[in-house]
Amino acid sequence: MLQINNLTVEIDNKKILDNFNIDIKPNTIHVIMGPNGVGKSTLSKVIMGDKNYNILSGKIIFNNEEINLIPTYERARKGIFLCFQNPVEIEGVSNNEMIRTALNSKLDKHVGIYDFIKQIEKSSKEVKLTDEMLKRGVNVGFSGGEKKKNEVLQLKILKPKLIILDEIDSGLDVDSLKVVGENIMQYYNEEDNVSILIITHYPRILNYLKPDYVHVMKGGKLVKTGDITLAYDIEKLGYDRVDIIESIDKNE
Amino acid sequence: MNKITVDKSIINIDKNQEINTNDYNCNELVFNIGENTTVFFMDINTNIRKYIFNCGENSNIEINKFNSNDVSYSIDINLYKRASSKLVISTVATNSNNVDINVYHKEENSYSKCINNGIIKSGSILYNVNGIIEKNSINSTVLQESKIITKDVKNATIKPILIINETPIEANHSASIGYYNENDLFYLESRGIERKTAIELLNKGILTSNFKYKDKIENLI
Ligand SMILES: Nc1ncnc2c1ncn2[C@@H]1O[C@H](COP(=O)(O)OP(=O)(O)OP(=O)(O)O)[C@@H](O)[C@H]1O
Ligand SMILES: [Mg+2]
Repeated sequence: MLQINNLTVEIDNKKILDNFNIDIKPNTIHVIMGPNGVGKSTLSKVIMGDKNYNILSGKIIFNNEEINLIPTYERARKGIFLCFQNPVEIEGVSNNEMIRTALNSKLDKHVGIYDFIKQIEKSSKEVKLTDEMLKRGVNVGFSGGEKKKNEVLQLKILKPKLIILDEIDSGLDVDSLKVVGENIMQYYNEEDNVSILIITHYPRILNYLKPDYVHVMKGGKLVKTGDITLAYDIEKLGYDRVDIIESIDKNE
Repeated sequence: MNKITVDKSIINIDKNQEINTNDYNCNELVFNIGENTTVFFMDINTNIRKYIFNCGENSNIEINKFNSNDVSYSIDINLYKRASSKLVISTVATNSNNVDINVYHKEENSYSKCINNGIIKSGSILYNVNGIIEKNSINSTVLQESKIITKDVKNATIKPILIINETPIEANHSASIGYYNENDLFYLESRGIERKTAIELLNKGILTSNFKYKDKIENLI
């Protein structure tokens, strides 16, 4: 579904991704963990087409098509969805209006207001957001957890194929984590050919979203890949000691 | 109604009501608002050049003014005891637009708020916003917020001036000039919304969010 080949990216003459590679097959869940500032959010925004980042070399391939030069909105319409680490607040544009415009754009047709309301009422109940919040400006006055739920609400309606979750779990209390985790997992189970890329610091979201692969990112690339036990090791030992244990393992 | 252009109309209002200034065809409009009277004014793409609102004791006015027809105009508001006014101005510029606002707080406990939002497609916008607290208008409040969206900042000017001759009072003003927030645009685009449509959404938000009848201007933006 998504292949990234030897991707090198800089911002302000600073190299953030350095020969980065990943291959995400359909119907798989990948996790990327890594210390603060290694470039995880950068990766997610580059996949989404953020023009602030400068691609020096490498390819991003989505469903067998190179998308390096494709604008953000087209990537979204092709089925890539990024749940932002810090979703913006937009005064004056209501959540309802934004989501409906997005849905119309995605489907390239005008969705009837009645159908839309039915759909959004159902989905917002499932993620525990109120009608009143949908009428507010995009994320305006939303708590951290509510913003994350709003991201999940949008993905439920826009029905993407590749979901990138950039720290969807940060700032969520246990109940919200459950709502978010279960809603995404349900979507993953119900839809065909969906893949998820989870960026996180903690394994707790992985209780809901069972990963096939866990990667560690450092120095602008993935340096290690394992299964969920790697996530637990990192939680227990931290990144530096996980490295040491690995090299001891190898020497034995 | 047959419209005849006259130079100046003077209208006295003693009953609560909503007024559509598009019903008046003149260069100058003067409204005398009686005591304890609440009036809502809607003004969309008129060519009126000068407005004067005399707001009697304890009266309450709100003005929603939208222009996408490149007209320059001035608005004077005179506020007497406990009178309050909220002025919301939205401007879409394709040519030159000069807007002069003078709010005179003449007596105590008067309140005014001006919210100006402009979008420059081409041309220019100048917002001259003067809040004058006269002697004897103790405990009055004067608030101003102005914002202009433009690619080229030299086409936008905001001159907020507060002249204060009495204390204690409350005064506040903010002004911002710049282009759309790139993070906002990227967020909308990441939802599959084309940049052009995203900008239309943001424009609509900026221009209508403080309007009472948003639908009246939505299709003019
Ligand atoms: N717009 C920018 N301008 C300058 N530097 C940037 C910009 N965006 C990111 N960086 C730098 O790139 C590096 C990677 O940032 P990024 O946000 O991708 O890290 P991260 O792995 O997501 O970290 P965290 O775990 O803290 O979220 C950081 O050093 C950051 O300061
Ligand atoms: Mg990050």
